[in-house]
Amino acid sequence: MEHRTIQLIANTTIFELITGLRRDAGNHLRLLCVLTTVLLIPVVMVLLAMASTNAATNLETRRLVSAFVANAEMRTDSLKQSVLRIPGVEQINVLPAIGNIPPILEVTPAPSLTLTDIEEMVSKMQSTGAFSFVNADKNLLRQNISGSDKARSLALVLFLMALVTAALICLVVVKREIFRKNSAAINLKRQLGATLAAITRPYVLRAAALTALAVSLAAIVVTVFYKILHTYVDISSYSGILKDSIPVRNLLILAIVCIITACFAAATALQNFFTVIKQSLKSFFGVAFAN
Amino acid sequence: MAGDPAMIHLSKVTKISAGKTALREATMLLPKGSYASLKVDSETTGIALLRLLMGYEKPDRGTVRINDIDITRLAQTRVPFLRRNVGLLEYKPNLAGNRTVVENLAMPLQIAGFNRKAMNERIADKLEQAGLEEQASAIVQKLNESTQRLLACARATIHHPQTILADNPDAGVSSEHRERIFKMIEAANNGGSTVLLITGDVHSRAFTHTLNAYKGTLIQDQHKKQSQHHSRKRSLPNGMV
Repeated sequence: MEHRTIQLIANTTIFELITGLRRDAGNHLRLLCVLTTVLLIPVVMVLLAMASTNAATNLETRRLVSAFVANAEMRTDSLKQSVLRIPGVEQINVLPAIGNIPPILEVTPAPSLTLTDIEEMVSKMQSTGAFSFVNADKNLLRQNISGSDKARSLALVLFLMALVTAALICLVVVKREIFRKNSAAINLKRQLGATLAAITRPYVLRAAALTALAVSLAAIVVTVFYKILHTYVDISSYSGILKDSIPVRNLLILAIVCIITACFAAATALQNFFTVIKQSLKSFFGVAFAN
Repeated sequence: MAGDPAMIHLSKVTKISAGKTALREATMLLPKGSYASLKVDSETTGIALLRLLMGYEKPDRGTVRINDIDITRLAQTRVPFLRRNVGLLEYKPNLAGNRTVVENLAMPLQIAGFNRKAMNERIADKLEQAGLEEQASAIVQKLNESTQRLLACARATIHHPQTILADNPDAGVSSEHRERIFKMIEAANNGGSTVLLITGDVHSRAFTHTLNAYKGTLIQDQHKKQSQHHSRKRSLPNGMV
């Protein structure tokens, strides 16, 4: 009897978290599915935000200024070095001479440059006298600068919307889980003298764990879907915004963003997070004083 | 009265619940270790009194003092600590239905911060006292009403609370369980707990105080019986109206 009691007690000491999960496995699985499904929305938003960031970078790299070298026999190395000294020039790609066609320098201006700055840069290049023609399509440049800015703003808005949406989803689902489904258990604990912190802690931990798991699952689902879509459909031909496939770096960013989103959502779900901490401290010191 | 500290002290308490006057200028004084019965003419009065004493609600007028603490002015954060010193046995037992008997018994001990060894000892003792050894690992939902009430009583007394409040603890229980329930309550009372039973059967037990509630007013009789097991207690004061 003694042994059996001890065994049962061993199971009950962390019953709020562990046996709760075991006992309500069906409910938790259902909650996980619901959370994963609804969290697909913010995860897609995060993915689109990343694609927008990629698009912004792509548009920046397209802001090319083509400079045709005047003398085909001129050494491009020294010319490249002199052009690189012009303020605002970030990168130069040299296309070698083919037959009678002289070499062409593809100059990428720094992303911070405005259209006026680029015009100034072009005039400086022309003033060197080394180029027969410097081509800077103003309309294209204007379009790309504007597109890049828009894509960046869109990415920011999408990130924020994803965070807010995820937080709201978690807040609603978790609060429903805590206060509706466990109202009887909460009332019982209140009756037995549990503090607010002690009552909410297991539910909060459970909700945070489920949220993190749900966000990860949603991220995996979206990533796999994106990969499959990208393999079978050339997304870039439909929309320049999704030109690049997801490289490892972006996957890492996605993972980090997902983790941050999960943490943020879980923290927001605790509408009374700080109150709970305060209550815990008060409870602790209250007990200490009482003793 | 002098030198006899009060455990429960209601002073001119008025409480209106759902439009009805549950308590009207009610005054009650129960010294530490007393064993009191309360006969109510309306369920509302009993429930309102229990809710006031548990700190769920505050009176509309008057003061409620438990162990010399005015709970009407108690900060909300201190109320849980008050409840830890109260063993409540409601008319409809409030148990965790999806947990075992042992898990239910462990709850007040866990909340009170008992260590594992002390919990094991208390639970083993209480299971034996309640005669629930065989059902120790049974899920509460599967127990019959009488056993559930017995378990609720065991849980209300397991942590040796200063006060035990019971609303008709013997309603709907078998005669064997009734005896066990009262044995547990009386054992707790002998251990120093103050007991307030809301019951219609005021003659069968050796109560030190008998109260009657009539239209929200509490009438406290002189302490009627001084049973042998209460002989250690000093004679109690005259009651008050």
